[in-house]
Amino acid sequence: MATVDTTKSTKAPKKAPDKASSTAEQRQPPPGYARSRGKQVQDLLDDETVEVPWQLRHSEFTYLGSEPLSREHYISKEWAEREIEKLWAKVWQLACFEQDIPEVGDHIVYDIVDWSFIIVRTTPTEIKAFYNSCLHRGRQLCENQSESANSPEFRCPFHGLSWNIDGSLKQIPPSIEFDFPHVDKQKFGLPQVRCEIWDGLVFINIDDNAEPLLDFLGDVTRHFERWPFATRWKATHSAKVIDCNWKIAQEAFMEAFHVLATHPQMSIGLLGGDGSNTEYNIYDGGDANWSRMTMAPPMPNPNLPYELTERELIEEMFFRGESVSEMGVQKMSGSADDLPEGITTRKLLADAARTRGAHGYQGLPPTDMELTSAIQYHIFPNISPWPGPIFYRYRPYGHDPDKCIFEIMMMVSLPEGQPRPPAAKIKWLGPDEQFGSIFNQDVENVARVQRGMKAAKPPGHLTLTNYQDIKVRWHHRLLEKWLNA
Amino acid sequence: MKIEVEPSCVTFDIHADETIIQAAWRNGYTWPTICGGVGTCKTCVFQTLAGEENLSPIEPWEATGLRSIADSLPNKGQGWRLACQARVIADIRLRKIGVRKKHGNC
Repeated sequence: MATVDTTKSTKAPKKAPDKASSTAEQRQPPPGYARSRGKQVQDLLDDETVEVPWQLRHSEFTYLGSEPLSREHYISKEWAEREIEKLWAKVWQLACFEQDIPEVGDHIVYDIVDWSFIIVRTTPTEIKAFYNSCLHRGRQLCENQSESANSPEFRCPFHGLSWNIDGSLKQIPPSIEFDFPHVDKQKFGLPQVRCEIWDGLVFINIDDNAEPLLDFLGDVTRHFERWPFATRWKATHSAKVIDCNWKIAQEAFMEAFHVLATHPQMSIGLLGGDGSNTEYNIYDGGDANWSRMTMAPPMPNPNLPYELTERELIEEMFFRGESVSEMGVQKMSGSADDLPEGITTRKLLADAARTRGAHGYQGLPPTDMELTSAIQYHIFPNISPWPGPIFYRYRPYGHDPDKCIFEIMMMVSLPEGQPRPPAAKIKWLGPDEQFGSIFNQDVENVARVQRGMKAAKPPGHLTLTNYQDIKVRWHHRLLEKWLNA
Repeated sequence: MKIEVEPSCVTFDIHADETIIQAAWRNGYTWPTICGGVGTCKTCVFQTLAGEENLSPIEPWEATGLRSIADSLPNKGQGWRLACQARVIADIRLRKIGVRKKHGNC
């Protein structure tokens, strides 16, 4: 387990050139270590009035080079086939949530590319996963991939062979049993696929030789001890087929500096900032299977040509009656005259969140940062859990590199003692149905990215930023490692 | 012609051939912008308080910008314009925070 680094490691690296020099050129930070103007996330944490949990201070970054990225990763059919063979057939992947299947016999289907699995609760404390295919003629046994169903058995609709929920053969219909003398019923159980659980999240792995799930996940499990999932409620779950590669959809949420151009409504009120002060973290030199970004909370935009004061920001917020940021639209009212000297916008917003009731924080009380900024983790290869309620999953759409399935879930922390309502089923959005305003802007982008990438003059390499695209680079670096293994 | 800006009580003159942001700059005032006044960032957007009829017609580029933010503005963006695109034919009064004398208080 990696040690917790409480230093501000996103700042100048220890190996920064130490030769004193007067030329501007030599004062430039080394590649990857330049930062935007204004306060960085770790500086803002210094201003907290409550104790900062170690997770927020666990801030690692490693420069991974400036080499261009091949567009083939996104548009090549051959690359997509390699992903299927080398990645999806071998990697731990989120199949469903424990709360999707709360009762014994509850089951739900998880599909990835051509594979299909039944995830079933076999006892109050055990969940198993089976290949969703009849051992007679191969028909899918279950079809319910959007919501759970409950049954005492899995009966094939084709000829009626049935299996118990623990996978053992239940019955070959008496009328046809005579014709299966060659079948050893003890050995005619449904083949299992590996299934392990972390904090209410049910993962499967097609590779029988894969390392245990918790080893694969690493330190991200310690991070989420502060914001556990097992007690949250999956309040909504939307899915949509998008016209882009699954990685392009995912990467739209791996950096925040697209906010200025893509989501202008977040910076026009000067309240939400423009995403440029986002902190990006990759761990263990980029080898960890998880990463993080933390968007700075609403504060005076450091990219204005002069300094805007917190007071002006607050006056504007009250005038508008709301704050628009990556955390959504929050109604705010009051008078700036009544406020104490030195109050900040983020403090006001955080206190408003505390008044509304902030739940789900284990240990220390929530910081302003957790209440006002978007903190987004990514777990390789395709999920993004937030300490806040949002949770994303991205899946390829069959073998087609030009399409994917994008899902948004809201994982809500409930007040202590409040019973959890049933988990939401998946709502599939049609081509003309939208996720919501901010997401619509992202979805519009990603389809154009897929199209534009193909239109580039060969070889069409992509030029990434050194720091702000580090999660994109991290992801492709891990992906290449898997595909070349 | 003059532009009155609330809440900072700033007033400056404007010529027919310049945008509001250009007039502010010429008179030594700051105006929020990130893109530098080319209609991309929409940060310069302001709310007209009086004299809306004195503003220049909305050209296609400004219309595109305003459309992209209309949903998040009060009143669906009615009466809101980009200072880097809009010109005037007579006095107007508007509201924009962050407009003040460069290097000093207003």
